[in-house]
Amino acid sequence: MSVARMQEIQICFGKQKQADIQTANTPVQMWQLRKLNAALANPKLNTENDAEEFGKGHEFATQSFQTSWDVSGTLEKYLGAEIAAWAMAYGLGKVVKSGTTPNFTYTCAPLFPASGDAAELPYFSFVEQIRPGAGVVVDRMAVGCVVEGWTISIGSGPGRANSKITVEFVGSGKYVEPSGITMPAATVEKLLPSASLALTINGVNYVSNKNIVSLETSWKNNVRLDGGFYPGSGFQTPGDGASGAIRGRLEFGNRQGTLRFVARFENGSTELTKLRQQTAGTAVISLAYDSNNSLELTWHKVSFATAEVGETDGIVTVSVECLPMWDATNGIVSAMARCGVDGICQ
Amino acid sequence: MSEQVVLISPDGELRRVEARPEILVPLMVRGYRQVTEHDDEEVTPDVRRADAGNPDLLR
Repeated sequence: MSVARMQEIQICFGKQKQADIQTANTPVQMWQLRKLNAALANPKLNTENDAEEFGKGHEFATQSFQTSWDVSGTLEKYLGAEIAAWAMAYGLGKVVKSGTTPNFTYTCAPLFPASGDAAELPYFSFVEQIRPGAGVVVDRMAVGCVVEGWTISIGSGPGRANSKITVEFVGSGKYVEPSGITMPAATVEKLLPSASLALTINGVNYVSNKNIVSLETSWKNNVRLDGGFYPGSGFQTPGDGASGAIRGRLEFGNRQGTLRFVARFENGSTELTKLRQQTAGTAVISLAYDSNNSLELTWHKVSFATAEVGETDGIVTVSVECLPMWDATNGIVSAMARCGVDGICQ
Repeated sequence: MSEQVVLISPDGELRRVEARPEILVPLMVRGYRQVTEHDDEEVTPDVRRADAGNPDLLR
């Protein structure tokens, strides 16, 4: 028997969204991308037993019950135009697609129930395979997954690792094994490198003044996981009440956006003044591979929540944590993602 | 002029707008969403001629 190594793992997931939480993506709706982390999206079966029930004459369990299922996972990737578009679309939830090959543009914004939007995020299926077929090691598909959050990290340095994205996702609990999915060919990804960054925060262009050191921005949906189990939400095996409950919906909770950065601090730097005066402005983060592959992320109104002077590699720097705030016209955040792939979250 | 897309408001109002974020994002925040091909089928009755709903004509 040959050992299975993690380098063999292949993943594909819904490029197009599922019709609903129960209906899995079909192979033509999926794409294969590579990832950096070895972690698997293991379905987790939650069980209970009858130890606390009276009438048995003792305090020990005599039966165990399958009660519910969880699925969660993390994708760590170099930040490319394709995964950026996917993460913005699925993470924020609302998408307007425009453009044609090779320049599709996905304008993304969060869902706002107060404006009539749903609280359910778009669903996708997630497939993991190691040697599918006769010699299968792993071959399964989690159905009804949503993006719990994403984090984009930009650093200083020459390598690809200075531009990364981490996407967390959670699932309904429904899974199919074997997946029945023929893995599509890997999508060629266009890196959005750190060296392409354009950055303006609160009126300061941190690239033209050559002061930016690192940046991290994130979005978290705080999905209401327990709220997915409601009377009638369904079972792993339809009609089999002993197979464990699955979620019938995945709604976002109180969402959070973050933006923090480290910049060189020098004579004339305004971060501490803006902190004291609580000056508010936009934050626009742009990364590009070329004119057809890019990401522009805009926090429409930020002020500085903290600003601390310190050092990075012996250089005086300021570490700033921004407070993203609601803008009456543009909301909290929006993203314009361009790439050559059609149909993302459609 | 850039490409145009069709959005629909929560009240069902259709608007054709330029696909630029400064135009799209404020509308998206107000509940507008893009009309998809599937939606096109659904809204078709709203733009038909008044007599197009006559079942005799549809038969």
